[in-house]
Amino acid sequence: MLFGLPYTNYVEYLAFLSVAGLTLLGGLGTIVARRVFPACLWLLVCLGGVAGLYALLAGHLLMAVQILVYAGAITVLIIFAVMLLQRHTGRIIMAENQHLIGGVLAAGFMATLILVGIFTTRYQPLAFGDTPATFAGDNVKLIGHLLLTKYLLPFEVVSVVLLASMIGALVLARQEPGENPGAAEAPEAESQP
Amino acid sequence: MPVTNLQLFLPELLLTGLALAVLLLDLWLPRARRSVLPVLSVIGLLLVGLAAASLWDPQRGPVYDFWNSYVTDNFAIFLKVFFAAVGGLVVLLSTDFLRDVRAYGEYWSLLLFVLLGMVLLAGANDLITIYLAFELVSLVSYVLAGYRREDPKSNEAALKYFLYGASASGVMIYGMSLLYGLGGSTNLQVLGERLASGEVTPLGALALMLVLTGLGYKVAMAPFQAWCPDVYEGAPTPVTAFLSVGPKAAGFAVLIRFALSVFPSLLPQWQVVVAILATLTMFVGNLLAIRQQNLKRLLAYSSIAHAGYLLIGVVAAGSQAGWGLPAVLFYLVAYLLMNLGAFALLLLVARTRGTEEISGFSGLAQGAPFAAATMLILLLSLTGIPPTGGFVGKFYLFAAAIESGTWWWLALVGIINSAISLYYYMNIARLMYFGQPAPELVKRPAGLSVVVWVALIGTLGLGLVPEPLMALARQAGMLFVGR
Repeated sequence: MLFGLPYTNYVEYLAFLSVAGLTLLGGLGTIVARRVFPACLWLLVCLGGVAGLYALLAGHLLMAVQILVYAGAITVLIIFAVMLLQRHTGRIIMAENQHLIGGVLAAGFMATLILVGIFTTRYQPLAFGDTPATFAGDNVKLIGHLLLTKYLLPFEVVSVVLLASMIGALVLARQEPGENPGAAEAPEAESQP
Repeated sequence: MPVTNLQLFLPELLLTGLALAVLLLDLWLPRARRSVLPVLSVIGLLLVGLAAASLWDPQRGPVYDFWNSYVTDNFAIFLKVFFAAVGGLVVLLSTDFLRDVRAYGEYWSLLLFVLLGMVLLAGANDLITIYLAFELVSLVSYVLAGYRREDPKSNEAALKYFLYGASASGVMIYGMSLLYGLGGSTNLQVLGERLASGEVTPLGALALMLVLTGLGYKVAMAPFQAWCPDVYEGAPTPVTAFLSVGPKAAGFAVLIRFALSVFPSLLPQWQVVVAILATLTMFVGNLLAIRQQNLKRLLAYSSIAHAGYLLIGVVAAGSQAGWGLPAVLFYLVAYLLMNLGAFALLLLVARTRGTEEISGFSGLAQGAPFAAATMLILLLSLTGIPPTGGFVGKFYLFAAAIESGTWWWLALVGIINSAISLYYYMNIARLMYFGQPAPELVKRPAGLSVVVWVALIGTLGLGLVPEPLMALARQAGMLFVGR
């Protein structure tokens, strides 16, 4: 028993602890890093940790997707954007953590609330479907089957969401013929209270 | 239940097809013929509304489809017809404004995609479907708010909306993940059964609060309303009109279905929370509206206040009397008519006088007596004075609070707030009738005139003959009453 959880397989438990710790460390690094570029690298650590968590749950396909899409594509895209912007503007983009005390207080409050919730709740035993052992190695088939049966509607909605986001992104970013480049980003709007 | 009957899915299929058709037609049509697109959109939305209305059957209970992730019941059908009406009116509002805007064709198809998201939200019965439909609504709304890319205020609106909205989505989906962990399912009914079978857990209460916070952001409920005035002021006016009614109604739909399906065991607790937030929302909206000089900002605060009135109905919907839901549905229709009418008149006035300040309405009664009289009626309706739809809607909401027993005091809060709102609404009326005379409104684009007429006839009609709509709203609300 560790933290009230019965664990028989201590190797798995150690693996979980290290991967979870890595995820937390990455998340912390992402928000604490002053310069944006190192923050992106910390994000990579965090997302890699999440991939490790999937692997521990025998979600091998999810782990691969996590690494390919989040760590591989999205983080790299962010890093590209940061590097291009830094070249373009000629200065290093810094994160401005102005409300440090307020932020720490708010985060601490939420964390306390969640931790109290987690540790005071008496959980009911629930069947979540198959246990990891039964579908290990058969991930692709299982997920494919679920996507085309139980989650068919969300699966179809995702395609509409992606299409609409793509059109939206194009509308915001596309340069119209005769439009002055950079005109949109020049004036900085002052917010009103 | 797997897919049994695609006929029930007809409105969604039509709407998706319409959005794609508009997108592709924009490519093929020559520039001069592109004004066909809004006409096509309105006709298409009419068909969507008819398709949804044809599914109406007072006798039929909820039909679950797509492996229970989607439900067709009278509540959902009522809202689908409502959303089709929202879409049609907003298209008419936008036609004139959009003439000189870039990315013309994409606007219509994006608008139709948001409507699709809202229609899906009306029937979503599964956490994942709810989340995805919500993201469809939110993502496209951010783009629409920033549609005037050359206008810094529009950029600011889009960015603020995006940052607040993204945080709200994050909070909401965290709550949903806790729910999945507690209930072991993403289906609302299964979650409801499993959460009700045991005792009320602290984590369950926390999850409810997180989801409520996320939804509260979307419907601009206090204390999560901070983004609302800036976004409404900066966004293009037709988009503001849309945001003030459409996504808000969708948020309420989810809030009601979610609270009543997943948390029947926590009803008394969440009623307390929502009642407190409703009070706060009404006061924040109305008190801050008093000082506004910009009419779009004023209408933004007023929309916060109206979200507060609607929350009274949501609280009452949790009680046995069963008055709350019909009252909310009725008020949504009344609010749609009076609010879009006010925005149409704002567009008309801003077009001639070049200002969105309240002062633009000064002396309107001399130059354009009909427009001024219409605005007066819409303002009376927004305040809640007979014989208008706004009065009847508020009457039903407050009556629902009184009928519920415990929550009678919310009616009192609502009446006090209506009195406060009288001040700033009538301030506009005072300016129109006693302000400096100004030139008349020279141009009256057809689309705007249609919206003004619909709003006028609808508001007076609902005020004088509320019973037909109320009967429908009651049938739509039936589903949750006999729980």
